[in-house]
Amino acid sequence: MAKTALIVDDAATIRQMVAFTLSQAGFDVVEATHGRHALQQLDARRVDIVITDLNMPVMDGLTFIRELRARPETRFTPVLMLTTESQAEKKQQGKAAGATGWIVKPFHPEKLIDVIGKVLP
Amino acid sequence: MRWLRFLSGLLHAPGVYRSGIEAKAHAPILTVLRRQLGEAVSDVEQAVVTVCESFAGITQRARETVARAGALLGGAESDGKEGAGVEQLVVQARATFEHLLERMERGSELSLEVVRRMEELEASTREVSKAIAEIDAIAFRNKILSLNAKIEAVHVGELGAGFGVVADEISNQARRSTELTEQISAVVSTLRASVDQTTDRLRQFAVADRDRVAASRAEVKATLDALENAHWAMRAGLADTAERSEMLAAEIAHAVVGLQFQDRMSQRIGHVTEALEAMENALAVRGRGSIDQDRRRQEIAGRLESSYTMDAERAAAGSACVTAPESGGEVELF
Repeated sequence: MAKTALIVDDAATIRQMVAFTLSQAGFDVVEATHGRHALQQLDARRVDIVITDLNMPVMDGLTFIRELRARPETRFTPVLMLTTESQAEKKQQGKAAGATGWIVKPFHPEKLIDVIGKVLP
Repeated sequence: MRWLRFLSGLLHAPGVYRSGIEAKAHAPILTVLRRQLGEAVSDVEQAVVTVCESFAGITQRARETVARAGALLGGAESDGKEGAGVEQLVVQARATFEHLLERMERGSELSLEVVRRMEELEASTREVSKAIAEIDAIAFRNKILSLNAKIEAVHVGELGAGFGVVADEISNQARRSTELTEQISAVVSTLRASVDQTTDRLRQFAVADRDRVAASRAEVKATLDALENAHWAMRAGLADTAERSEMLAAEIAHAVVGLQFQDRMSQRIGHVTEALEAMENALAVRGRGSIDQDRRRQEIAGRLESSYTMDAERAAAGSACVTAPESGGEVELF
């Protein structure tokens, strides 16, 4: 059975490229445009992995991850941050919020799939 | 971009800040510049979305083409299902033709067997003819014997009367035997003629049939060999197509990396438009006095730096030192 990935990014092109990469690798893909939208998507279905941007309107990535980790059903769901940000301080914030990993854009499709393979049980 | 150069010229023009009224007159231009930048970002985003949709379609069609061709050719390397692929059909055709040719060869052998039996029958009829001839000869001798017996019976006189009767009966038997042997001979002759004719025709047919079956076997083998060779050539072509499809997918992945420039550009231009809005507001405030102007400028610069998300933006503003070029793709697991 195919695994499901939730992609959270306010940029339509990034959502599209990540969705294209993951669907080619056999994933079912769900999209959200910001953190609050992503939480609504999670109310409706279970996902196996989350890939989220950091800077988004309405609810940013760090707030979204904290909310995600507060829910019992998503406490251990792998969360990868996919962002242009590369500062160590920001990475620490992501780790403290509960992120599983950090990928700096632009991402390489084969590397993204490789990382997902490492964090997914 | 021309509007940024225009803005830069505007800000550095000596006479602009001397007149608040003149500054307010130029403020609406910043609104236009912001809108142009926003629309440019939207246009680029739409273009990249369209390109990515095309890539997805290209990749999907390439994979479907390879999968469909693989299913058509059949064999273990295809979708794994038994049956309708060309390779399966060639195997089935070979088996079917083999069975058909074997049955035809058995038919030819049966025909030759019938010919042999007919020849044996022909030999038997010749034996029968010989026996009939011998019976005929016996009947003739019996006739002579009965004639001699009659002559002797006459010589003996009355005592030989019974003997004469026996002699007559023997003569009758001999005549009857002769008649019967003549009938049998006629039937056997007719039978032999029919057997000879049938045997000749059957022999010719059996030999011709055996030769035809051998020729058909050679033709079928040649045709199936050619079909199988064509099939393997097609499979080689399919393998080449699959390889090219994978190369295409790799090239598209490379393009996906390059197209992500749009996201970075969108963010940077977003920050520029925010700065332009702040400048626009600052120009509107300029008429109140130079102290307010300085404080306002500092507020705008501070807010601008706090909105930066990339080292390249901070470097351009002079607030960070970038020692290595950004390559992206950096991964760190916690």
